[in-house]
Amino acid sequence: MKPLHLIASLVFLLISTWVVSSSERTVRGFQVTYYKLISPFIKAGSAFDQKTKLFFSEVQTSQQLEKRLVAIESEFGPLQATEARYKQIEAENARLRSALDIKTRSKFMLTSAKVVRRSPATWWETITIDKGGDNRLAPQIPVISEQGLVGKVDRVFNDLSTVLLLTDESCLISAKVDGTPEHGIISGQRGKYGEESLLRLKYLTNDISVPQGTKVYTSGKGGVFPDNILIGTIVSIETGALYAEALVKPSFNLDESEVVFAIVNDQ
Amino acid sequence: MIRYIFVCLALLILSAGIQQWTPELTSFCKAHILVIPLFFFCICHVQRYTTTLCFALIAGLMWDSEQILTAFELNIPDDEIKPVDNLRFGYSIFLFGIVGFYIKFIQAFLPFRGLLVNYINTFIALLLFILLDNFLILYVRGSLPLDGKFFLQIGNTAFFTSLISPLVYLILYLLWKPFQNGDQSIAGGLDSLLSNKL
Repeated sequence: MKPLHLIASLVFLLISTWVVSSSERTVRGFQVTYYKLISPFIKAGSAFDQKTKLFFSEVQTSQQLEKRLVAIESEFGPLQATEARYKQIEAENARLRSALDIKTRSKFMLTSAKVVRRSPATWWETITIDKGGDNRLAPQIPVISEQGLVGKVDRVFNDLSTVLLLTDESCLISAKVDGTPEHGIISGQRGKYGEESLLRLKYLTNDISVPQGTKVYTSGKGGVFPDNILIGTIVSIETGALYAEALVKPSFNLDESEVVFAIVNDQ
Repeated sequence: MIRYIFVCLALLILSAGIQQWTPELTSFCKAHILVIPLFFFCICHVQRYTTTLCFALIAGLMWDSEQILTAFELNIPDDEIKPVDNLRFGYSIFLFGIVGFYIKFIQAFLPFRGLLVNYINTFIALLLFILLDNFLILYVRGSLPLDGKFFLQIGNTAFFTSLISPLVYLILYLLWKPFQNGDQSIAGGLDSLLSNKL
């Protein structure tokens, strides 16, 4: 090895060691600078992706559109009746609440965000959304979609955030099984390459007996996620020596969700 | 030559942008196209050892900014906030350095060069990088699910990423050409790409 190469290797090792031992503030500085540099690419990529989807969704025959119209019209009538019934029940509920002097249940303050990047080139289960610190997002804020729980905010930049999906093993959620007193901790699983991501609900009692398809909700006991948000449905139960575990299919489908909601304030 | 280093640097930074547009190959065990490592390994083939180390530093910083989940603990005693078992920011610099060293080492001992050799070398470098990266993550996270699909994902990622390497070498060659011979047209001499110019 030439002397120059040796010196270069030593300098490289010194700088690398400094980076590895750098403080969180320095790391944060690196990440913010990096995301400032690449955010135009992420947004441009998202716009391109949307245009492509729009192009392919526009390529539909009139027959397909007619079929869809008929299907929607057939659903419209029953939905109108359901809405009328729902309004009736809501009014009745309000009357009864006021009669019993029960405080109204706290509501979420939601901020909608567009998914600008899915499945980046990392080994973690994350997505990137187009809202960040400018929109009052902060680390550990829960993120939901119309289908159910999505995950929690991880890294926050000015106009971008990374969301750690509930399918990642690092995302722990305190959960309860619908219609039972069972509570547990749910998390994603690793090593299921090419397969549908299933969640693992741990610490259930061994004598649990619930049918397949039973819903699992957040229990609100963990401190991060509010209660009663749908997580998924039970696929199977595995009993162990100390406790049982359930495999849960997440209700959130990454491919179908364009928009998610961050719970910025639980009033 | 110094201008060519800056061109390669610009290309490496640009690769971070291209990385954002690459999809996950769900049909192939969720394989990824790793653009930043690919550009780095290709650049290694056309730069000196000292420059390779500088580029390893930059590529490592970019890769970790992309990869590392939040390292900031909130100090909230909650069941749902688990410190993410993660590697420290900057570990990739060592990985890029090691693999960069490997490329230069192999190059020094190979009696012949050419696109095919570079392609094979890039594939091996990618495979080595992904394996080291995954083993480190698995070591930190504490379990080792070493099944066939795990290796299939790694193999697919290295394979599909390396498929793009001829294109990167072509870009590097086209950019190198004007700095070597100003009066030649950039498009000229593409045939020599297949011989021993790179």
